[in-house]
Amino acid sequence: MVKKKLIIFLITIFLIVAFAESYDVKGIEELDYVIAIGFDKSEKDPENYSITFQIAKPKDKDSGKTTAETITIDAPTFDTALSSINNSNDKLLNLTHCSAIIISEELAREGLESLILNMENNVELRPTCNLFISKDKSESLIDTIGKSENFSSDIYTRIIKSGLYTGYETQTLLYDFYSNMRYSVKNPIAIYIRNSEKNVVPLGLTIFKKDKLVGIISGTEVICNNIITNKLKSATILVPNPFEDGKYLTADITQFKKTSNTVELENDKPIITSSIYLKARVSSSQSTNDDYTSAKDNEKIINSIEEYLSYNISSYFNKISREYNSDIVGFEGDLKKQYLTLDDYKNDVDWENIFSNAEFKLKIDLDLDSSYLFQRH
Amino acid sequence: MLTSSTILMRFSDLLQVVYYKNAPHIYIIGFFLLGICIANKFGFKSIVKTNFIIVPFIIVSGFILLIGLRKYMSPSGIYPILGNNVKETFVNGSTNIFAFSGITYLFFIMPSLKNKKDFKSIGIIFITISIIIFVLTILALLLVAPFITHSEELLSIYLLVRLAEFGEFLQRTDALFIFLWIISTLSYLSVTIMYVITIFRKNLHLKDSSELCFPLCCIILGSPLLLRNPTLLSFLEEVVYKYYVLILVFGISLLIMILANIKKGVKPKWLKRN
Repeated sequence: MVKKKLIIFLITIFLIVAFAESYDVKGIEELDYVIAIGFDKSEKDPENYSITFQIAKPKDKDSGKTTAETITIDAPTFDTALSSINNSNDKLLNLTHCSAIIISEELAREGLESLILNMENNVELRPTCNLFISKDKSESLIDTIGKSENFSSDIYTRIIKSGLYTGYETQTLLYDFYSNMRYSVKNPIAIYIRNSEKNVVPLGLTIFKKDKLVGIISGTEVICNNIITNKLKSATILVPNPFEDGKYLTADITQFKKTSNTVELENDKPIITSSIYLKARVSSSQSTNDDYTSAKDNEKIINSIEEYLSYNISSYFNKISREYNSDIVGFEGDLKKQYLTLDDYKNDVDWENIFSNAEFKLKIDLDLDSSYLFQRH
Repeated sequence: MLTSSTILMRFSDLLQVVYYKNAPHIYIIGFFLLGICIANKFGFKSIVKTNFIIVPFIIVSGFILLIGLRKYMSPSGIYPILGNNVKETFVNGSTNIFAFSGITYLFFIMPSLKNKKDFKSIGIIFITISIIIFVLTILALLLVAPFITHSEELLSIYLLVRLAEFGEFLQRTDALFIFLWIISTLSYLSVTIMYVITIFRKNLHLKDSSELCFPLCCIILGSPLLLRNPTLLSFLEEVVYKYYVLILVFGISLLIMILANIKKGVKPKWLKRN
């Protein structure tokens, strides 16, 4: 009897819920999906942000392509901007599909703490959103992307993915930036991009000290950063050909084992040793007489690649320690492992002041897998 | 009842922030209370059998979460291994044993057992499961989000669940985890109310206690509405509840055990040999 009453009660509840007006459910026709957000310094009021929202519109009937609409507004905070746009727009902005946050370099140099905190606090904005720093105004960059022929809702993800296999880019997420900014083991980084006529060009990585932009690394330095931080999928490098002066060969490198970093303190000076383990395969050469079956010749190629990497990684280390004094690798974390308590660590080490004097040692273990289809020409 | 109210308050806050921004808070709490009433109407055995299904899912979800977060893990989060200093970790940190407040339920489980000798193995299994769940969640938090030691979140583990990815196909799985947490919260609250009803029935010698769940649910409904002040809620969780568990669950139970042994005249083995 009790069970029958319960079943009737449950059915009644179900019918009430099914036919009642919903408080929060909104259909797709009521929402505008934002795929990118840009932040610039407002020209009218330097205390405000100029915030640009790029909205993906349904496919155009004639061309069959997804189009983009851009809305820019000046506001003191991110949520005020959202509220103002929702007030004037016929649809509600939804941030759940936002895949890119683009901040201008000018704003990044002043500090991004409050901006990042507000965005991380937003429930709709995913923490896996990609973070970019733009050399130009983010509004113009977003506009350029919106007008490009290949525009689609996942264009920002494609910009990064295409670069991951060249080693010249590394994925930088909003969550990583927030975590590195708040927790002091390593400093945050973000992808550096600029506007070209019809496209967006990645230029390297921006280096931050806490929340302020302090420097930029590009090209081979990004590959070095990826090797040291174990983010390298593969990269193509141009090294001097050891058999013919003035000529080069290209090698594809991958990591076969994770880089290990050890830090020791000697008289308040950190001695950082990085051991990297790479595999290389020669993909092309400017000479036509290469022979990859000869052990002697392979050793020469290995030495040439190792010299090239050693030089570039050392220059990368110098840049992040002496020039920018920003530990973006997390060497401090390797030093902290040697201490039992945080109090002992803080009494012994003032990492912010000693990192700029760090001495770096590099050990490279390189295996050469010769070439691809031809081992000798 | 106090813990049920605070847990319900916290979790319904999370649901309101994430999914139901405009819905009245009382509706979300009412949903849970409806579930509790229905569960208690079905009786003790149904609640126990439901828990038997849910608990393995919770343990497995902890492992799955660790797998989904492997990309973001960094071992530097757990170092230095002893925290700020020895005193803060072992002396001040010893009060964190209040996290095992679920031991309270072990004190009431004895009458429900068919075979009293199973009590020891039940206790061991209970503590083992609690340890596994705590270790998994704390490990995930420290390896992925070490900044939580400096901040106060609505629900720390929700931050992790938003990051979890399982390849290209399965992304944004936070809804699945929240669904599991809703069911486990309902289950936990049903068990709590079930034990409160049992206590009332035994103390007041009631023949039929099935209707008691309604007034108890009304008390739970009213408590979160009184606890709208977040400062008061934090005080209740971090001070009142913490020391209540330490004193009543660990302190007094230990004292009762010592006094009972003295009364029974149980001598330690080394004294018996002499």
